[in-house]
Amino acid sequence: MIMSKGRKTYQVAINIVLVLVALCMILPLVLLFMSSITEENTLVVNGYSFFPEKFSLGAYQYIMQNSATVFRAYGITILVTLVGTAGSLILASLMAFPLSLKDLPGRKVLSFYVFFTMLFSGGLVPSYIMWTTTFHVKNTIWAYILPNFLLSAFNIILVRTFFSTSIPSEIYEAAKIDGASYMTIYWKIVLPLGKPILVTIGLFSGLGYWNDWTNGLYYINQSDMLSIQALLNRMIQDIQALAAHSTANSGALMMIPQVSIRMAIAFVAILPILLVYPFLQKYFASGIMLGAVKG
Amino acid sequence: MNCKKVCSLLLAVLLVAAMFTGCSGGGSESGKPANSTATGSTASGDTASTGINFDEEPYEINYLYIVAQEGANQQKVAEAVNELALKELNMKVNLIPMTMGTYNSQMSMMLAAGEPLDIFPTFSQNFSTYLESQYLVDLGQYKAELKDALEVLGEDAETGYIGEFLVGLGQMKERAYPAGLICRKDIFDETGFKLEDFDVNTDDYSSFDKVGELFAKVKELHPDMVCLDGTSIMGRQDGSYMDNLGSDFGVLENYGQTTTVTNWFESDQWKTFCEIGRDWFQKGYLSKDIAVNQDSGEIKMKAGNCFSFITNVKPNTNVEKQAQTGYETVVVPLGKAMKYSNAVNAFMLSVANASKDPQKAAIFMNWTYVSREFNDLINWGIEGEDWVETENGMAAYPEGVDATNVGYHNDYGWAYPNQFVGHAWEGNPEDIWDQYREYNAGLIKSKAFGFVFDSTPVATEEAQLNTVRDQYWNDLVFGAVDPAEKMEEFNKALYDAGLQTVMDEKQRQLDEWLAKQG
Amino acid sequence: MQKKKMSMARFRQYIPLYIMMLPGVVYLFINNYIPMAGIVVAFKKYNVNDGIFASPWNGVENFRYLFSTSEAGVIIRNTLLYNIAFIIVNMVVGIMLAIFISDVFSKKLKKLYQSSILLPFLISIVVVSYIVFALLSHENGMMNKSVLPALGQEPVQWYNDTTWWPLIIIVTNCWKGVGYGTLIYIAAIAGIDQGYYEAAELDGANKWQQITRITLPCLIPSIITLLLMNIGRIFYSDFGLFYQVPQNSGSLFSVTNTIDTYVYRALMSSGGIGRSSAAGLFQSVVGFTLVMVSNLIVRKASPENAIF
Repeated sequence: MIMSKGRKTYQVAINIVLVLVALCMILPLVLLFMSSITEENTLVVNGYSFFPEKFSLGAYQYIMQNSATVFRAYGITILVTLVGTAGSLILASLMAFPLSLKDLPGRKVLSFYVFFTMLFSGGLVPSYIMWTTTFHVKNTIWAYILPNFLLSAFNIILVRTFFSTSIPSEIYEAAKIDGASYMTIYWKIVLPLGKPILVTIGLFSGLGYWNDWTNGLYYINQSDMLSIQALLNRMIQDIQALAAHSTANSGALMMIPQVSIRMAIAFVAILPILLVYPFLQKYFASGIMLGAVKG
Repeated sequence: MNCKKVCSLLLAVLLVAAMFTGCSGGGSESGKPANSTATGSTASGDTASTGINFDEEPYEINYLYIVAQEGANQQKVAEAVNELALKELNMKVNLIPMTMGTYNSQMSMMLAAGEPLDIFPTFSQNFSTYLESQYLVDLGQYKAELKDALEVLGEDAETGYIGEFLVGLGQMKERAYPAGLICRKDIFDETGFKLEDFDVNTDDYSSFDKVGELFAKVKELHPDMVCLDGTSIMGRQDGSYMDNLGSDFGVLENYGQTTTVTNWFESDQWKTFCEIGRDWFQKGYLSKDIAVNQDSGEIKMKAGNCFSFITNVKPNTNVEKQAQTGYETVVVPLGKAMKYSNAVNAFMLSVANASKDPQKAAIFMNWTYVSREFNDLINWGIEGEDWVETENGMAAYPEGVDATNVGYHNDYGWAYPNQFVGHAWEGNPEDIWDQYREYNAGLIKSKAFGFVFDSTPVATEEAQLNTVRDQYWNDLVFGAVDPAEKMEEFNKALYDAGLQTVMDEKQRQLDEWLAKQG
Repeated sequence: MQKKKMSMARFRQYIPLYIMMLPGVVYLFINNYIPMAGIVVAFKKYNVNDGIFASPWNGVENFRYLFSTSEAGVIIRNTLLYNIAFIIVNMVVGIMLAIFISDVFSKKLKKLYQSSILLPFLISIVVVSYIVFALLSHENGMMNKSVLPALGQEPVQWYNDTTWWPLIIIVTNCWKGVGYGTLIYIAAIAGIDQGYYEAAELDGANKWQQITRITLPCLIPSIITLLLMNIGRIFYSDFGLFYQVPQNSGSLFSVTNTIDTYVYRALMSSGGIGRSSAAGLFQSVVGFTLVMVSNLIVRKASPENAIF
């Protein structure tokens, strides 16, 4: 009895702590949403608040009216996320399957070839010059997809580890005896059995593509090619740039949307994540746990 | 085992290096013919100046320019400019519009990569890096092609020379950046002050007290209102009170009426400005955010709770500010207007080294200084859709079109070659461009006008000084910290970062230049 | 002779596998290896006419510039100290939360806590900077407008005042990243044999003793894995966290400038690509060395935990 009483207090205590922590995690996002539905003037006078005096859907109306900008950016983000994720899944699994076979000649060298990319990088300028002058990705959808994000060594190692630990090699032997080619094995056995890890890295690359703003920063200068994150970033950048060059342009004023509109666009940018997260939560969680398994 | 890995790694890197050298070899070769055609065609320059060869394949100009935002009619404008240039110059034009933020984050890499580019805007603080990295074409070679543009610019074209190298041409606009206080007229009138009450000048700093009195009155009438907001104050107006000789480090004080290079941040003037800022800040006239705020005063005023902001002023400031803020404004001058080199060359138009035919680029550039249609197109958009000509020859929105739904509208005359040949926007006086010319002719002229400091020898120091300045000056000028305490620290940091070296170099070059002027 | 033939035949059967790997190998070659050759620009006085490889050498001039500035010390210090703080804070908070969450009875609540802690991990840093601004804006921010007045405190000039930024950055980073480690620790805790705890309880061990004697020792492999992952990145910083979140505010440079933000600013302002690349190369080399050394140490101490 005494034990269980102690346990009860412990349960209450940790639940209180965890509720507080959970609130800390969620409330900032609520604040973002509340600022987006606060009337602009209230925002300026009373400041950001969870309980604004005056509500207004003006910011969202503005987004609807200027749908050409926001919706287009949205479409680009979605397209990039889909294509990029599919591409990285295909590349990572095609690369990981052979690496997971212990008898592949040159496996060590190839693994190191993959691993080394995690340790050393050539820096921004050389990659920029290469992607723009040789591959001409500038202002194309490929600028979001190709540089940096398509295939990460980390993903390859994750998938390889999963393949080699979770798929018994006897299955391959059996298939080979039945005369299956490696491509058939990959398609018919590896992909279906590797589904958990593929879902996981799919989610992570999807998230990476959705949240990326850096490629847009370097490779996109046409506003009709901006992704939603790049659009958010550009608004900050334009404001900062104008402040910095005040000497040269006495008459400059950027058409920067008002604060509540900026907040609304930011909220719209995270909305899909908030919507799908409850359903995909377990995959994220299991994926992170898989990630911790030694590569 | 380890050795094996290292070896294979080395091999891989070598292989890559070998491949890459191969690539770049090709790249630089393709760059070379461009140069040789350039020199080749300079020889035959006479034919170019006599007329345009309409039989040859049209050359495509990549024209990068700054826009306020990209509107829905961007494509139409691009087509119209293309058509116009094809008709008049037998050239095609690829317009590359960029907002300021994009320009800042992409320009240096575009240049480093040698991306296709003919004409683009440049800021004076980058000239030394650009010259060192050979990003620019010396326009001095193309004086014949640029005849009209040089004529339009007159003596102001001299400010584009760094040594013997003509880096670019300035835009036609005001040639001075005097500081002014932009106030909301409705509130200003409420206070009972008259514009004539203000005679703010730097001969007697107590004249700034009047502005403090104005703020106090505003505060009394509207306790919740922010009296002064935005991104500037006197101490930030580094282009208004002295000739900055290209950078803020080592200047000619007193509107350039001296030839001794001094440190403005140590001067009594700057100290006084900081003290005024401190006083205003402590009295609650300034926005609490002001030292880090990045929203312009125009945006703040438009939002409705800001009485005034400080910025550079020019003849038609109040018309422009009314359009930008939505309020009628009163402009209180906060000093005299001075013309100096950096006022002209702070922002210029240059020809990029990546240009396949710099001579053609120069011809095109020349044309942009005289073509009325071109300047109207890039600034106001398509006539009939984005603007119409009013009876008195101004540009105005067509019926049913306004700032919220216009397809193309920049109002960035300051960034384009020659707004004086184009239409002025409705609301300006009809003779606005004459007013500008008169204004420019009547300015105080810095004794160093025409001198351009070549910062290449002190580029390292200047880069560091910029960082130090950015770290300290906002806090000081907006009074967030006590100048008595921080100013010394700031100046010590400046000297540690090499301020004396820069000042000595400036003085040396200036003395040399003065000697040449006789 | 015979053997060689065998291996050729054996090799041939693997050809389809190599073909499968080709796209990935080519991508990594293009995206990661080719730019590595561009590193030489750090030793060059770059000009666009000659390009990266033909520009004249200028020895270690670019590095000399980097280290002669007073900033070099600041950016290295910031990068290192922040990363060390991130590692420690996220580990301590993560383990604590993991232990708590694992002990929660209700399955539903457990899941709810897990989900909410991971949520910020999914938000882009640009959006995070908008949120931080909503909290800290001097004029309109929630801290200055509501929280501090309620506590009877004076408003703080957040974006000018360096005092708070180490804390703000560490908290923001923890807020955004702690969920990741927490989940890993939860998984590790779930893998601990319940028998240990039952035995301990029979011996009369209290909760604290169970944590220090059983849970923590069992978490060591996960801790080492995470540590190794982080040490390799100790010379890198999340660009957005140090550039966007402080709004690029000049007065905060002394506490927010890291190698990454320095590289970017040098590139975008007048520094030129040589200097920027020099800083980048320095970062890569030191980072590389650190991973190698730390992995070596781990391999000596507990071989099964080494990454390679």
